[in-house]
Amino acid sequence: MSAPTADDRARVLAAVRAATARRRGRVAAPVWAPAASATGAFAARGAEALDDALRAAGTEVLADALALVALLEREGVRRGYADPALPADLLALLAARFELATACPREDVAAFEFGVTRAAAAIVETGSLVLTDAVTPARLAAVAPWVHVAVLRRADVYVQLSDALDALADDPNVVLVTGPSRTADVEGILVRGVHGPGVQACLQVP
Amino acid sequence: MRPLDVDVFAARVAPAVRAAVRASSAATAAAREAAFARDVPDPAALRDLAARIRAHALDHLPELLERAEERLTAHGAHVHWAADAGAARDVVRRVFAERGVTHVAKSKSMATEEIGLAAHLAAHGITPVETDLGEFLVQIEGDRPSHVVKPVIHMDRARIARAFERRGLGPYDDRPEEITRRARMHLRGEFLRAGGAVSGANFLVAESGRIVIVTNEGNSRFGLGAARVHVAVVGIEKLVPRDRDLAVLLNVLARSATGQAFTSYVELVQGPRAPGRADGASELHVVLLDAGRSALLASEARDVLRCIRCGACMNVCPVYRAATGHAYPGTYPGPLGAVLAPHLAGASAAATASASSLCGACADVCPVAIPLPELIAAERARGVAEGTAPGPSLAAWEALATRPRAWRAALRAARLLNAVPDALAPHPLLRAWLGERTLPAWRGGAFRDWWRRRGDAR
Repeated sequence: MSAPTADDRARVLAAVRAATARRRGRVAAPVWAPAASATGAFAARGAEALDDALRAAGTEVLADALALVALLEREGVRRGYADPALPADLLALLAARFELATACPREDVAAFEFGVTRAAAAIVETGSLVLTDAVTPARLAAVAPWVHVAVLRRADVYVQLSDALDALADDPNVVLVTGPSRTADVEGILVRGVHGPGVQACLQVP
Repeated sequence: MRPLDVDVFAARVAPAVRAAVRASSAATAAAREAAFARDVPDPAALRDLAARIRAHALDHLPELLERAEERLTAHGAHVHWAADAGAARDVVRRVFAERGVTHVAKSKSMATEEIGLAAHLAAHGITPVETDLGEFLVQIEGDRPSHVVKPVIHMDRARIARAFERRGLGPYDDRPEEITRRARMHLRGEFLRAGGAVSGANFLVAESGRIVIVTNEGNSRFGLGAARVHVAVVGIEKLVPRDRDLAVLLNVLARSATGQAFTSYVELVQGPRAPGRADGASELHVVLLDAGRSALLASEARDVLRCIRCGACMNVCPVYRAATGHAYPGTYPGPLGAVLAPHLAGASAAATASASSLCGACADVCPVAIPLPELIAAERARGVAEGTAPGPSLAAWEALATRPRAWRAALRAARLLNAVPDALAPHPLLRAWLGERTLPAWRGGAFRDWWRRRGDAR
């Protein structure tokens, strides 16, 4: 059995201090404007490029609630979760056509074929959806079902990744979702839907 | 490790495996190049910025570590420090054992690979299940990863399908979609059975205490969402000062690793779930792992600690492509491993450093501008200085060549070698070499005999 790690803390920090203390001319913190980290073609076009950016990342863009229904029907999914905080008319529409639950308990998660949650924000540069525990507490409903639809308010859009990261509030868990779950572990061939959704979509609401 | 084991291994790699590794590495290298050309207006400037962010962090590591610890603790996480691999293994095991956790879902982590965590947990009655598809295959095959990003780059679909069949995941089927579907079904049961989750971290942000975990499969998202206790093993070099620094590093990481513009899931974990929430671990433990890193920071090879584990250096390395990842000792193959293995895996400095042609391709693609060829050359020099340099000793040759009588006797005696089967060759390197080649019969001394007889006849 090893010693308690309070001892290790002192040892590690002392070793790291000794290693850095003898450095002459330590590298200063780089100062850089947000533009320095910008990549890709979408950020330069601003917020209106969001749909293109989402699509480029593999996320389907849904124009309205009917498009959402059409997507779920196309995928042949019946049973799903919807965040009870979503607009009432959307919930009513889904409840009329699907077997809908407003909780997704851990032990039943395998039975859920789709999940409709809210997104805290989206990022144009990377085509990412930002899910936080504050806005999307049902983490499993957003990852386990075959179809995940994130409902995004049009105002909640960051143009650059660095803007979105700068604005992050304290939250136990934030995830940037950029397209569906994927793997290329078998001979480098891309397959969608390993552990997370095979179909990732975004529905924008005013 | 014996010197030049990389060469010995390389000679034995099956041609099909070598071809697969070469093709996959080359394809990813091309995708990386295309992604930078397409998406990054000034790749050199972005790389310089990424390098400076990492270099600055390494130069200010004590402050950043203490800041991260303070932030994590403030958010309700437990921070542990581990000076060596043994201490890290003990901490993780104790956290789970004390909470009655018997199954843990692991997401891909080179640090846990490095400290042999899975075997340690299994030996103490805690079942670890690798949930990254590649790492799952490594686990059920009793194999080890051969690439930092693509652990089963050396396995073809037939081997993977056979492994699934043996594991009882259905009859042989080698279609990638079917293999992936079965992994999804099987591993979701494991996620739900697991009380614990183990992850590594790609980065740890000092100002916020956020641990950053990057996956394409979403396995860490599922694992952390379903577990009660999450333990993250984080190398002490993973620090960056601010959340916004991630914008630079994540942008170069995805493009360098796979040629994607961005990775599917970038998870930022700051603490246990809030009270009243259903999903997410109610306890977060962060193990800050030294295990040779602080010594490396004090060494000439310190710049290698900038590494963000993208694997670009191995994808372009001619030695990696020919020898494949299993040729290297330790956890990290390729040019990265050539520098890391002597420091982190106790390999002799020369053993891996000699497995390089110093062609410089790795330095060209490194997203944080690590001068890998210089570091490899320095390891090689260190190996020579420490007497562990590879290559045959010339002492025996010198003894014979300076004594004419002994030289003549040796040349004649060497004809006896013709009677020695290759399998009995006196050195493993020689055996391996002979395994691939046929030697002409030894005719040593014949010239001297002929010359003498010729002289007598005159």
